This record gives sequence, structure tokens and C-alpha cells, in this order.
Amino acid sequence: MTEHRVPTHLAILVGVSAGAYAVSLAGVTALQAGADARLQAQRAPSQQAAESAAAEHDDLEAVLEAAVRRYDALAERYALVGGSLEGMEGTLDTLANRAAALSESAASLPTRFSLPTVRSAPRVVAAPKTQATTGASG
Amino acid sequence: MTGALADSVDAIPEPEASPTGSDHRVLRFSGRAMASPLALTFVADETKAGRAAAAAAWSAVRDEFAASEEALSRFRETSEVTALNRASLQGASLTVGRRLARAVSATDRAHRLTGGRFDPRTVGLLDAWGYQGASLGAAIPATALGAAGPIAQRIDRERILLPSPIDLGGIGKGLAVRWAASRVANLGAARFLIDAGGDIVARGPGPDGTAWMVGVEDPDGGADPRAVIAIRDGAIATSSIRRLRWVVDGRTRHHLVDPSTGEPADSGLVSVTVAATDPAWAEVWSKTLFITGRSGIAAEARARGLAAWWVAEDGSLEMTPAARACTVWVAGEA
Repeated sequence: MTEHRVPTHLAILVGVSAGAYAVSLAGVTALQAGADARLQAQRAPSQQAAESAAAEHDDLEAVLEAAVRRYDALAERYALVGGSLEGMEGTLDTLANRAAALSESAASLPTRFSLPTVRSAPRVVAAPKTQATTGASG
Repeated sequence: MTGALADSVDAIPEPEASPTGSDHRVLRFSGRAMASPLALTFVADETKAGRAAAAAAWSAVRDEFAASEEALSRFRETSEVTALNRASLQGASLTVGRRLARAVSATDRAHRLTGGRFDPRTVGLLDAWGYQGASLGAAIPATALGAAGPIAQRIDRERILLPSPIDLGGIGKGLAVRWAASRVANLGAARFLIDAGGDIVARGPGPDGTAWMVGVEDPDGGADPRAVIAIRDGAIATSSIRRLRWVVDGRTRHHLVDPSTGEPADSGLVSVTVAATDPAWAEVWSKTLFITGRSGIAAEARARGLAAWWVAEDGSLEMTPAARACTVWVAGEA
């Protein structure tokens, strides 16, 4: 039987390589973090603007929804009034027809009437009781 | 021409309920003063104290009229105004009492405010026409009537000089009624009516709790009034030629002289009645409006806001809107 021994110089080389790798990896990570941060900073205003726009959009949407509700209510009332107006127009038409009928009837009435004679005694109201009477004062 | 006060007291047994429900009695006292009937109608409590108050009021009215007549009547030989008129003809001033001093001031003011239509300097004319007062001992000039200038000159507070004699007949009775009403009111009386031959002052509610009712005399002498006025806290006076009219040298004269002509006013009117707050000013305006005449009385009375009623020579009765407001009945209206 035989023993294998890793040559020392290879071990050192591996170790150094690993260390160098670790250092470079940390450097890259740091670089990446910094880049991300810069990128994030650059993107922040736009993001804020987008969020504000979204909020305003929500408010506007609420306003629009309220307006729509009011419009619907008005439309409903108008529908009711419209129905009443139609009824009133019908009533006016009826009145117009009746007025025309009355005019035709009035045209057939005589122009003067003879009233019966009324006989009555004139009403005499006595003077109220007085406490004095005017007279020439001089 | 004035008679002694002869009094009579009539108790009118008409218990009436006041608005408060208590009983009152209407008492009427009558006599004569200043050549006219004088009457006090008093609403008294139905108690001994009420009757005593009424008697005290009548005493005050009589006393005031006696004092006023002694101060203001040109028909009395011993009156203050007769003495002042006599001094006037001598060109002399005279110290006078409070009543005459006030009367002269009121007359001077009335002369100015009526534009001269109320002019007391009629003594000479009236005397010449037979309407004579106390003798003044000298001829009375008639030319002073209508002249410009004051009626009197005040030398000091009580000393007066008259440029010409004056007749206070157009304001004297109204002043007497004013002062008498003031004395009665000062006794605590609140409901009474004083009638001095047509110069009337009423205070407080009438007997039925509303207003006093005063009839406008029919100038033709009819028994019924031409209208009935409701008055409360006011005065009424009338100028009329119904009674005081006489014939001199074939011409009819009366006492309401027009200063602008020096003749009895030929105004187309028979009587003018004015209601006002004060009896003396009611008398002044009744006379002034009479002299103004039928053609101008309506405009003048309305312009001054006077409550005035007038009967024309044709018998028609007219009145201002202010008069209509207090007229509760008119003869001939249903």
C-alpha cells in the first residue's frame, strides 16, 4: 500500500485563489450594491410621481363616481317630472277644449237681462248719543 | 252782557260698566259764563269720593271761567283787557295779570301764524256796527285792523302796550277752556268734557269707555246734528254766523270780520268746525278758515292737516280727510 500527499504549493495556491476570489466577489457585491443604490435614487422621483399620479387618479375616480351617482339621481327625477309635465299638458289641452266650448255657449247668450224690481224701505241709521254739540264759539 | 253763574247739577242715573267692570256714574254740571252756556260732564266713580271729585272739578271750572272772564272780556267794565284797551287809546302801557299776558301773547302768535287773517283789532268796527263792549272813554280807530306790525308790545314781562284796542273774543273762550281743563286734570280727573257754548275739550274715554261723541250743530237750527264726531283727548271749536248776526243801516252784519276788507267775511260759509289738540287753536283756525272762505277752505285745511267740517250757504256739509277719520255718523248716510 501507498499514501498520497497534496503538494503544499498546490494548497497554498488554492487558498490564495479562494481568498482572491472572495475579495473580488465582495468587491463586486459592493459595486453592485452601490450601483443599485444609485439606480434606486435615480428612479425614486419617477416612482414618487407615479405614486402621486396614482393617488390623484384614485381621487378623480371618486369624484367621477359621485358625479355619476348625482347624474343618475337627476335623471331619475327628470324622468318623474317629465311624466308630470306630460300629464299637465294633457290637462291644459282639456281646459282649452272646455274654454272653446264655453265661448261657443257664451256667444249664444243674450246681451242684456231684465232684473225683477226690488222694493225695500231705505235704512235709516239714527245718530249716536252725544255728550255735547258744537256751536258758535265767538 | 255776561250773566252770573247760575248752576244746576243733574245726576244722570246711568250706571255704566267701565272696561274694568267697575261702576261709574256720569254727572253733568251746567251754568253760564262768557255769555254762553257752560257745562261739565264728568265720569265719576260710584263712590262718595267720586262725587266729591266731580264737585271739585266743577268748582275749578267755574272759578277758572270767572277769572278768565274778568281778565279777557271786553264787555266788562272792570276787566283787565278793558283797562288795557283804555290805556291803549291814551298811548300808555299797563301792567297786567298772568292770564291777560298769556292771552295777548297767544293772540299775537295767532295773528302771525295765520298770515294776519286772525286779527283782534276789530273793536272799532264792531263798536261802530252796534256790537258794543265796555266803554273805552275815547273814539276807537278802525284803521288799525289789517295793519302790519305786532298786536302788542311787551315792555317787560307783565307790562304791555297795545298800539290799538283788541277784542279777544276769537280766542278768549278757547283759552278759558284750556286753563279750566288743565285745572281739572291737575285734580286727578281723567274722564271729563267741558263745553263752553261750543268750545269743547274732552279728556280720556267717554261714558261708554270709548270716545266722547260730539254732534256738529245744524246751522239751520234743526234738532238733529249734521254729523257726529268721536273725540278723545282733544278739542273742538266752531265759528258760525248763525246766532250772532244783526242788521245795521239795512245791512246784515256779523262778528267774523275779514281784516283784508274791513267787512264781515262774505265767505260762502255758514259754519266751520275744527278739531285740534288745543281748544284755543281750534278756535283760531275755525275763525281763520271761515274768513278764508268756501273757495279756499279745503286746500288750506288739508295743507295744514286740520280736521275741519264746514257747512256752506247752500246747506252742504264737507270735511277734510282728517275730519272724516273721526266722524262716526253723517246725516243722510246709511
